[in-house]
Amino acid sequence: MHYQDLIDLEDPLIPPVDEASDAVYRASKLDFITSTNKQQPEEELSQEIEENHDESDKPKTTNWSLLRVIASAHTGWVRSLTVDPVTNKWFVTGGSDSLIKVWDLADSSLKATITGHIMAVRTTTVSSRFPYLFSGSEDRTVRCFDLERSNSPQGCEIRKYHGHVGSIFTMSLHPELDILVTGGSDAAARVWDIRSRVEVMTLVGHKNDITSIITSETEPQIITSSMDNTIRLWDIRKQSTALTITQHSKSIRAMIEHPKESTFTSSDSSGYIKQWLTTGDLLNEFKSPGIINTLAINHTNDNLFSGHHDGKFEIFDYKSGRSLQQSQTIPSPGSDQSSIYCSSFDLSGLRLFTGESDHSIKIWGQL
Amino acid sequence: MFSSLLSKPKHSVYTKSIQLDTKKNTNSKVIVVPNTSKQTQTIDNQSTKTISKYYLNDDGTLNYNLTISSANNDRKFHSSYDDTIPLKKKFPNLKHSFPKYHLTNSSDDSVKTCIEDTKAIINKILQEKMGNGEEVDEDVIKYETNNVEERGRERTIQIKQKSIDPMLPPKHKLRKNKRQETSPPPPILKTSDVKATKEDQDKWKIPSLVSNWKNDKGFIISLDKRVMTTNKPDASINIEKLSNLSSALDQADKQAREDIKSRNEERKKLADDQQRQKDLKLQELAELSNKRKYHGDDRYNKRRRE
Repeated sequence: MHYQDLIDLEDPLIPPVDEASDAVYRASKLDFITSTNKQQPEEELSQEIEENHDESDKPKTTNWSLLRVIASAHTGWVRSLTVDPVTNKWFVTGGSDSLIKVWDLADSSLKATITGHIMAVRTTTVSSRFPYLFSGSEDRTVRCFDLERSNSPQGCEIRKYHGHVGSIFTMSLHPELDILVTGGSDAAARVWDIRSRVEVMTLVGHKNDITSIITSETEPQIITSSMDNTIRLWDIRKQSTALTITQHSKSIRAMIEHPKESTFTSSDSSGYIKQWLTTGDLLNEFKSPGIINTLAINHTNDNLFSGHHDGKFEIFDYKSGRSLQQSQTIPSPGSDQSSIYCSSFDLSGLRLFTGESDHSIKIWGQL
Repeated sequence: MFSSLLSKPKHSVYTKSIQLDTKKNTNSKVIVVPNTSKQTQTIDNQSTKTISKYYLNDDGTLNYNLTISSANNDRKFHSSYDDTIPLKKKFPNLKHSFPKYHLTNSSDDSVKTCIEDTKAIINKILQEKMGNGEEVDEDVIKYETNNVEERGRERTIQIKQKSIDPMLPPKHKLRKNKRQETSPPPPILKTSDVKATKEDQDKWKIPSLVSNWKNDKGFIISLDKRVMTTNKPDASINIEKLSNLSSALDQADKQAREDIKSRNEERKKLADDQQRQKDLKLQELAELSNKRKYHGDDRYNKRRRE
């Protein structure tokens, strides 16, 4: 498929912007605000939203600011953060202290601590079809935890996937099939059958650590980014690379898929952010100078968050690539600098969570 | 000459036709191969091993995409400068609408077939790996080479799985990794027969520690040494002038000591002279009195007598 098949420049059949869904989103946002802050009168809120609606065409800036800090959430760096993809009521963090912690999204209280790994937990994923949490660690194992048994005395670990010969940095669950794709410092992406724990495929081709993996139900079903400056789109039906993108000149540390579009974004350690169609065509590129550790997409208003190694972060408009906000995290007392290692927006797009090297989780909101 | 090595200017026209060097390919065959979409020319290349054929566009320029992809099993490649230009820059009026197709919202069943295909392949691999699927004994494939001379010749190849007896002893013996001796043997330490001389013993004498904090013997540490030992050289203190001062002071001290020494010597000389003169005088007096005893008495008595 070529990009010209996907898009037609002057196609009258492409529907206009879906205002109904936008309205539904705004109403849900209104509900969310009124349910949490009941002191505010509803009339003021509706006025504000109307004003926002009028200014939707003008260039906007965002004002994400720190709302809450969960200080010393882990006794090490917070390396991975995943928001529950179904109920939006909790989120999971994995830290260098080899623990996985489940936090309440609304009041940031600790719901469960999951043990099992013996080295730093580098990646966590929550399945949207099963109550399973998958985690990959520097101890070269992938583990599967049953969240319904998270506080049972026997522990909740139900499966263990052995086969990696290096630490695991990233993983992704296939949206339709029961397969899990993991990748890490052994430069091979391994495809696991979730139920039988068999390593179905080994996708070999990268020359350095794999840093991010995207899976989707349409071709290319697996996309991997690596420290060898390349992105590979895989054809898993043939178990081979369909396309190698070599347009980054520094190691790619973060790559993220847009949840509603067939596009994805990658960023390298020299600060270049490039947006791609899933066909592999370059859509847009812009720059946010510095080493970018993590990317997050707010699908409700199409904002792209980039978190840097030196604690800076920048928010872009996903469609135009325009910078909306440049700011810096505030390191916890006792640490002079804090790098952002992982980030995620919640499903409503009202909160941003970052896991940082000062052992804290930071919760950001728009004022 | 070197301009070709430089990167392209940022806002230049990005399409540039690349002309093949015609001199090299004068004696090679040119075959017109009908392609599915349009006519392309191929030129056989005997010189390099990696790329056997060059594909040309209609206007005689090199078609990089086809050339590289034919050498790599018809994979897609980013090969032109055109691929590095973002679509949004190429088409400024591009509408940002790239919907994602799921099982639920796709118009045709392409997503469904894709998923089912993948599922079938994964199930097949799983059955093979877990060893409980039906054994596929043989597979017949039809094979056609890329070689131009043998184009059109088709071969049928039967692929069979070689059965392995699971009860056979292992092919490789597991051996313990014995510790190897290092190539130069480790040195054996012995006490030497030679007795330590006085000089050797003196070499082992370590002078006592003197520092800003510990100075048991009360040595005087000069100011410039103190300044040198501090971590940060202070710009406000001029070490050069300080060393000059301390050397001047040292010299003055030396001079004063010499002066005092010479003065003391002179004084001692003077005192010695005086002592000697005194002694001489006393000696003279004693001689005189002795003379008087022997001779003077007569004279004295004479005078008395007179």
